[in-house]
Amino acid sequence: MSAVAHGHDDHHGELHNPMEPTRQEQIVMNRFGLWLFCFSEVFLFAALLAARFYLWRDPDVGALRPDLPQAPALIFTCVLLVSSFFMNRAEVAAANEDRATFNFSMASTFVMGLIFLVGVIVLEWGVGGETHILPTSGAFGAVFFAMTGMHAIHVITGLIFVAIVWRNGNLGNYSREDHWGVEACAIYWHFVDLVWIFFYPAIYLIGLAVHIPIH
Amino acid sequence: MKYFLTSALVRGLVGQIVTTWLSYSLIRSFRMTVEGWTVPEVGLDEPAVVLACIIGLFGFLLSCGVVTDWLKMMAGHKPHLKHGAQGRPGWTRYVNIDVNHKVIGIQYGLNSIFILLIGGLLAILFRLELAMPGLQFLQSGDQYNTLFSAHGIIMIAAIFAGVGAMTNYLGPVLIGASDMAFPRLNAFSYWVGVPSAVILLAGIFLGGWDTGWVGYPTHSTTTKMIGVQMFLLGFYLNGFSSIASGLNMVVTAVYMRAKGMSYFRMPIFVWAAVAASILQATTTQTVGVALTMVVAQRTLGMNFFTPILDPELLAAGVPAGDPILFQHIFWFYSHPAVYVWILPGLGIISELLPVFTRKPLFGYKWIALSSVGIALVGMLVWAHHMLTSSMPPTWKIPFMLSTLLVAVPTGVKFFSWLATIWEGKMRFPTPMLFVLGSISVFLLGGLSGPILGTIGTDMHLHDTYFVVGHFHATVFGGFVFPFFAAIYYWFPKMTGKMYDELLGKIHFWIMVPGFWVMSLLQMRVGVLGMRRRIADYGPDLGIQVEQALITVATLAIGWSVLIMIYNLVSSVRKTELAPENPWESRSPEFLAPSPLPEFNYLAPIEVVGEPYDYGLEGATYAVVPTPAGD
Amino acid sequence: MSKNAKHFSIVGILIPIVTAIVYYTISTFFFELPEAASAEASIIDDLFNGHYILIAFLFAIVVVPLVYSISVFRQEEGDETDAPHIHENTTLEIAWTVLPIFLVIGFGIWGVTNYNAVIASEPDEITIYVQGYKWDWTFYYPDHDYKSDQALVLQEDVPVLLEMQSSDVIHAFWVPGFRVKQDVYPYDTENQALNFASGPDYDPEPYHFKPQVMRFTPVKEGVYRVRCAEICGTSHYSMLANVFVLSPSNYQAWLAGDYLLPPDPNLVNSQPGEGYYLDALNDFTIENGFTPPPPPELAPVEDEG
Repeated sequence: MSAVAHGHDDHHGELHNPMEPTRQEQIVMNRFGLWLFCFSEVFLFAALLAARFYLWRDPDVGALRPDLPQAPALIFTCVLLVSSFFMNRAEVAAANEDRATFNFSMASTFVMGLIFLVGVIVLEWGVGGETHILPTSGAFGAVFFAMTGMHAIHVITGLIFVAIVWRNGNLGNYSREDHWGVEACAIYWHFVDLVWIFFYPAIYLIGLAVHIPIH
Repeated sequence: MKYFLTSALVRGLVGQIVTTWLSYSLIRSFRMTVEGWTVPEVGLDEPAVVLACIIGLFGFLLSCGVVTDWLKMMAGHKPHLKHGAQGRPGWTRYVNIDVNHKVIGIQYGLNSIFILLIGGLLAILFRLELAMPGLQFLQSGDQYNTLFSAHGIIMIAAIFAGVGAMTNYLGPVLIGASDMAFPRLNAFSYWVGVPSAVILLAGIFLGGWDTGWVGYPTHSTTTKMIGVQMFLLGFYLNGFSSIASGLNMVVTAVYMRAKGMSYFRMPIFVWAAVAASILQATTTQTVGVALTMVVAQRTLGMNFFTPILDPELLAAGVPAGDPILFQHIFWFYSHPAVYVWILPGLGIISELLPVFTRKPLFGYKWIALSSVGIALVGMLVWAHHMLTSSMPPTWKIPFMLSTLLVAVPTGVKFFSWLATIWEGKMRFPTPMLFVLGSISVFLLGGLSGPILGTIGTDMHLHDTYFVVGHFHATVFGGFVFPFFAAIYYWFPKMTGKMYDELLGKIHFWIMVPGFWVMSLLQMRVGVLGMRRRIADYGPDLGIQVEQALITVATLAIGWSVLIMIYNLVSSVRKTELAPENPWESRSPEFLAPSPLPEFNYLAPIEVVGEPYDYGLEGATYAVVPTPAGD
Repeated sequence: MSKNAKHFSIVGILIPIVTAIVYYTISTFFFELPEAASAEASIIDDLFNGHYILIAFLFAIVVVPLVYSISVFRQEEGDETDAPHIHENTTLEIAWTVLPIFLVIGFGIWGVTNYNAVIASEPDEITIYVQGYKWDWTFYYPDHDYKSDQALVLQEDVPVLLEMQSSDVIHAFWVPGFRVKQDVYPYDTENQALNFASGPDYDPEPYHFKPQVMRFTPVKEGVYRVRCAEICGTSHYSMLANVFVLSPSNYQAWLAGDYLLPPDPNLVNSQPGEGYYLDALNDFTIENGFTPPPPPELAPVEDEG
């Protein structure tokens, strides 16, 4: 069989790439790649927002929204926003090789993210609690669960990410020069946060509240 | 054989089948325990199928090992990239996880041709059925519907794989890089496409589906053929491949260009690939949303698309779903998707024309920017697929205008090609023939476009065979023929052997005229009243002769592709080596040895001139280091 | 330069000739449209004609230089030199970017006015409700409270307004001779107030339900066919219904129950074995050879007026 794109195996064993990017060059590319990925995800969430504004409306009244309890949503939104602050602190701490602050901040981020997630699932979705909306509640239910669900999947990914970075930080894998893992985690976490800043008013604030009858 | 059976491909497939089957059984048993013994209406338990397919994908990825390095990184290790064949025979690289972009490119290419053959076989089956009025050998409309629906989505998967082949193999080579920016992600993009293709193909046998590749609700949300779930999932999972490879290509082109290669000195194909990659990386997300919504509506009863509502909810003022929503989100991706295929193809045309006319590419900057223009305008035309829907005229008219605007950057490309050819010293080996064939066929596609863009004429032509002819001309002219041209052109570079010129010409002279006949007649029967996606048609339309001819042309196209495959396979086995630069190209890869070394160039190359300065005395594009001692 | 002038003049002469040949071929034969049978069809056909001229012209200005170059600008035997180094001409580039923009704007404006003319409403329209379902059509005449399962019957030269809805999935109403096409969307089947077939109880107002609307004026007596143009499942291909355009006197007679619809000439002339597709048209079966279709049964018209 002919050799297609085979290396010069002159030296046998490990092949060396004469043009391999350095770690610093790789980090620059990683950063750009991650920002592009966030840009790509914008389209995902924009499509959900478009669905929300397309479906939750009435030809006479205009925009509608489901009548959902306001207080918990506001509290959990605040918790998520504050978690971003701690994420930022963790990143700074990693850059300064300050292990104690890093640990505390990562733990805070993780716990706050978890509170947000559990809060959405228990109080908003009504899993194991009082239900205000069901997936089958017309376009309200469908889009509500699609938006919060898609966001929750990203929060779960973020939590796993935070946990991994937290552990790796304690293994001493990040240094002043190279803490790309923490930075990536921070960018991702801020992005998830930012999405919620758009989702929260779209779900809870904009439009005329309509009560959903539930049995 | 031992190497094959332990390859990542076989391990992955076994892993996928075992995990899918196990999880299906588990979920099914769980549901039976909880809900009691019920026989599902369609033979399979639909929600269980959906979950099992998703779990099966993870089964594939874990057992083939493409995510192993990432798992190690998560555990805090720092795995090194493994280059080369790892002590196994060279061919095993193509069935194993390999991070080299050329290997991945060829993997994509082989995958693409394999899936292309399956899709083509389906097309030939239903073309035979359509050769005469009446149902000949198919037993029902459902069988026909499954065939054409599967043909559509399988061909789309094949085309995406083909685009992957071209961008992966050529991208880094043309910009003088050693590999893509993210080699592991690159391998992941390829390998995630394999299980999703398996899911798509399995859908044909597990019930089939009858929604076409568009899967419009409320038909896709209510059809009893549960192959539709496999279709939606396979389509959706393929999207991961698209997004990841799109991101990868953009980052590579931005950061890994050779020294001296400014943006306007990049080979024109790279411009096209980047424009396509931006579309691919962004709009794919929206179709993901649309497909997920259909899956959710089918399995969880979430009402996105059905205007039917429980009376109590209706009375309370809760809004219902709307099928038009799907069409918006779906076409926001699926129209640009076509540009994702044709932009790299048109890039190949622009790349090859100067080589074979021995003249500079006319208006390089204009062609480069027209790719970006097509990509941008392409994002704003999606609703022209809905000109006969119940969308209000205030929406239809802007989309009609934006659609017509696509003609402008496309025209720039055509005129620049003509100016490149004019006064050239043309040579006609097989790649050039296919380039000229592409231009002629893409012209058919382009000319039949504006007539579909104005609403009045579209009311007659929408969903007829005219659209089928237009679409196939666009995709063959914009992707398939350039893809073949690229295969023939870079074949000596990929393998170090030359293909058989006579067989290549025979391939061309059967396929391109065959395609003209097929496409033009499809447009003709469409104008006369033949609708799309019908299993049978009446003799009252008076189109029997045309239908029979279309079928003959399809068969000819099928045979000619087999000739190409025979040509490539037999040429790879030749012992005679091809010259390093058979086309006298100025491109850097043709100044390097064939086949290209593991890292493309022995040392970083440097760009010192314009890429297409043919006919300019003493001009050089790139300085490529040659092996010591040569 | 003189050599180039020769090339340009040959191409310049060939372009109008090829344009004329292509236009003649596609408009009179290759892309000839089905006979125009509605007022809207003539309007749309004007636009078609404009597009055909455009297609012929653009085809010529690309194909003539392309074919000419292929036959003239070839590498000569033994000539290994490169061609002249001509790589751009900004004037030319701007010209072929800007001129098409004007062409596009022109066609855009034409397209808008054309579309407005097609959808314009006319006085004295007859409203007919159309219901699509898997895989057939039903027509309901609200003015006469009469339901026709067999065929859509129209009066020559009288504009009609079709209000359409579907009972299950998306269908599309298309009669090639009338040119116009409209997707038909599903509605709530359980809700009687939204159901055309429920006759006098039909009242969509409170539900914001808007049926899909299509207008046209049939202008030629004859038999046509509704073809569903949106994939809708198993028997999509045979989701057909006949359309009869009758003269005013016949139409009045039909409304009064005195006129039997003529057998479809396409059915009478068709051969055994073609029945699978034709079955759908009038719900007759072919078991022992070919039987001409019975005339459609008409329910008595209950004219309230």
